[in-house]
Amino acid sequence: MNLRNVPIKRKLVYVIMLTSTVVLLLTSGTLITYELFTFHRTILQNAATIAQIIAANSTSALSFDNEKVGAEILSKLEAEPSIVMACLYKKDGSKLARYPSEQPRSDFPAKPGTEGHRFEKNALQIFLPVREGDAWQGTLFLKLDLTPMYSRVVLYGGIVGGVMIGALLIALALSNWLQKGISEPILELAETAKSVSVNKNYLVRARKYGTDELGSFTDSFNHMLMQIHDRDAALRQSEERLRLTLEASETGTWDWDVQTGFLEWDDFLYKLFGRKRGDFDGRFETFLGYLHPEDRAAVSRLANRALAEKTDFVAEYRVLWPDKSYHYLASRGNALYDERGKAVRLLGVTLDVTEAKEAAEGLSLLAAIVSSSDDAIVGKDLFGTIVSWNVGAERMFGYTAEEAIGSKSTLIVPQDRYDEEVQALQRVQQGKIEHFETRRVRKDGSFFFVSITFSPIRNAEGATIGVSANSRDISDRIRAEEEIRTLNAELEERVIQRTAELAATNQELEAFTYSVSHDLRAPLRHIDAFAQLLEDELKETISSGNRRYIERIRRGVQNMGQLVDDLLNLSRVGRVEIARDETDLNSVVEEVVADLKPEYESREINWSIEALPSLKCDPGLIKQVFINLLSNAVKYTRTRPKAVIEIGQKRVGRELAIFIRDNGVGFNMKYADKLFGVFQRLHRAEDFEGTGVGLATVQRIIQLHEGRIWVEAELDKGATFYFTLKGMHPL
Amino acid sequence: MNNAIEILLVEDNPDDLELALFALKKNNFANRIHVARDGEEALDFLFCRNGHDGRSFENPPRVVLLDLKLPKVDGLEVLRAIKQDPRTKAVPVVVMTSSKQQRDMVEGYQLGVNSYIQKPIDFAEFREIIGQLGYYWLVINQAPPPDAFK
Repeated sequence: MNLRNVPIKRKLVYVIMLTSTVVLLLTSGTLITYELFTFHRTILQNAATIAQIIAANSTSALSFDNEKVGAEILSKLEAEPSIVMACLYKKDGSKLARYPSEQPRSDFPAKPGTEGHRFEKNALQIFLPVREGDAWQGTLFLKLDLTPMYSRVVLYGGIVGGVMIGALLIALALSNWLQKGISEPILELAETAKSVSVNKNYLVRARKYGTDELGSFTDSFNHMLMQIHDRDAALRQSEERLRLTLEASETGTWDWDVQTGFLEWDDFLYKLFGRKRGDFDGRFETFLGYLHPEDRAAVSRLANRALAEKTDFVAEYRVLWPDKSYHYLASRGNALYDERGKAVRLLGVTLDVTEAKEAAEGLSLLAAIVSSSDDAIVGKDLFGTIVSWNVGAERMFGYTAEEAIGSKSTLIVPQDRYDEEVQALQRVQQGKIEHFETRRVRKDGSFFFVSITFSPIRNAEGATIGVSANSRDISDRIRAEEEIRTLNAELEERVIQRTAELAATNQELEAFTYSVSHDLRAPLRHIDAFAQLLEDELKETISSGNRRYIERIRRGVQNMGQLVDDLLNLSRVGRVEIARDETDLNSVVEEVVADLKPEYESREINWSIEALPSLKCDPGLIKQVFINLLSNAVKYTRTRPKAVIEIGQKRVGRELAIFIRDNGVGFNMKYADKLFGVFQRLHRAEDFEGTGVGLATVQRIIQLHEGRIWVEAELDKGATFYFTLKGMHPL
Repeated sequence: MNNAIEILLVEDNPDDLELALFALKKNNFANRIHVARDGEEALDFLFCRNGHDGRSFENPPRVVLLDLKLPKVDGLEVLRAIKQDPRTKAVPVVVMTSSKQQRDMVEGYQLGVNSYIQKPIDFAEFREIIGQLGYYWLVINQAPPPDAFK
């Protein structure tokens, strides 16, 4: 266990106890050593004294080699119980006497040792020469038992140890008590600091125990806490402000750890990238991947340069949102460097600048539009002074911008239009947009027409601060209008004239047909009547040849009458307004078939009439169509013993056509185009009578109904007439 | 009553006049015919004026056969004058004309014509029609009572 990590409380106890132990150990060690030393010296002195005495008393015994005396002297050692063995060696080294005498010889050293003493295990051996005068007589050997003495030393050591333990226990108790005075204030401080750091509560205060150094330290600590609290509050406030500011300005913040490469985003930055928290893995490459491909290299380069050159990182780039929309973002950041100047972090803020970007683009676009406009765009202040003058204005009025700006707008307004200009300016100042056409004067004094729009120029507060005048040269238009007016007037006159002519012609035509219908028929009637009367008169006498002549006259009259009727009908069809009544074609056909009955009464005709549509048309005219076509069918099947006439409908492309098919004499299709012309006939009059007007009339009626008519025929096989009418569609 | 005029024939064309009279004669309606050669004459006769003062409105012709193309006052004007005046309004008027102009037919009927006939080219047919006409108007049809001419 490292002492450094030991709690201060125990550390104090350790210090006190260690100190006490060392002091006690040193004291008792010294004592015991001194005692031991003293003890040895005392024993040695005693033993040496005894040995001197014995040696002095033994000289005679040795010199006379008297064993008995020697033993007697040695036996006196009984009084000294610590001496366990003694021996007198003669000059030759043999033993003269021993003590105790009963101890076997072999226990004693075989030969006398050199003079001096020697401590052995629990024993002290002494060899002392025995002299008479200077004559060496022999050697005395003594051996002392030190065990009892050592027992005393041990006892002594035990007492010292006991005293020491007692002293240490007292020291421990004392230190435990004493350390509180020091450690408690410190612990309290530590506890307070811990609570502050854990709870971030800078309002707690450490208790003060005294006025010592700890006391003043506590004061300083509390003071520091107070300052920290104040600063913390200030910091919080400024953080809150920053957060609010960032939030309000929709600013996102980011932090790029250059060493780990981790790029951290705040919530707002996720919003700016159109992504949810967790979508972004924090890799710089992923971030680059979100950018417009054209912007990636630039942003990467700018970041690296900011790090390398220790400059601000400033970049604008487009971000592709998951919804495929692009957003302009602007980032600004600073790098943080370590003590060696190496960049460790790059952090900063990011803003959405799409609106600003678009506004800027819009502004430059507007500026481009204004400067490139063919229209003259002139800005005026409220006093009518020209403040801006575009290229179009230079072209239109002939003044350069330098000449025009600063002048009054009367520069280009002719005198007779001053009032108009002033009134228009007043209305614009009230916020209205004025649009009018007027005259302007160029630098060279020539006049021209313009179409002008005055609009108020407003400042951000909405107050009108000037007028924008947008003028377009309309001289060409005015000229063109003039021409058109002239042309129109002429045209109108011509139309009136022509209409009158037409009306006159029409009237003449009408009068003509009117008189034709009366006056051409009247003579015919007369011819017929008088021819008949003549025949009647000559009844008895007339030759059969003459009778035939009269008949020929009358037939000619009939034909002529029919022709007149047909032509009148044709001309009438061209002039009438057609009606549009819902008409059931089947009932029209039935009516016609019934009307024609006199013509085919004596014949066998197989009528096959399919269901026909009902549509809006002129019933009278359509009836004429069927009269003509069906009477033709009846007429041209005359030679057939069994005539078949079919009326039906057929889909032709997207139209519905009515057809009338007969199995009559038909005709060669190469004459088909002649069929509908007036007076065009494909048959000789003696074979099939007719005026050649009927089909022309039919075609006219069909055309009036915005339809068409055509025919398919084969000589001797029959003919099929088809016609369509507007509004007739397949069901 | 017996010598009252039964037919007023208004016809300017001499050929037509001859043929009409011939046809009437052949159908035995030749008596009591008054011929007017233009519109003015016809109106003088009907309105008892200018030489016809002796006539009275109570004795109108049983039928007026009226051509349309007439000198001075044309047929439709004559018809209008007859039909607009309460004293002559009830007199039956039959228009007989060469043409069957739609315009004339429309106007004639709007003015209140009692019958409208196109003279056919075939004379035999014409004779037949005249016969039927006389028979209808002079024999079958009940003449308007005198109170109708007030």
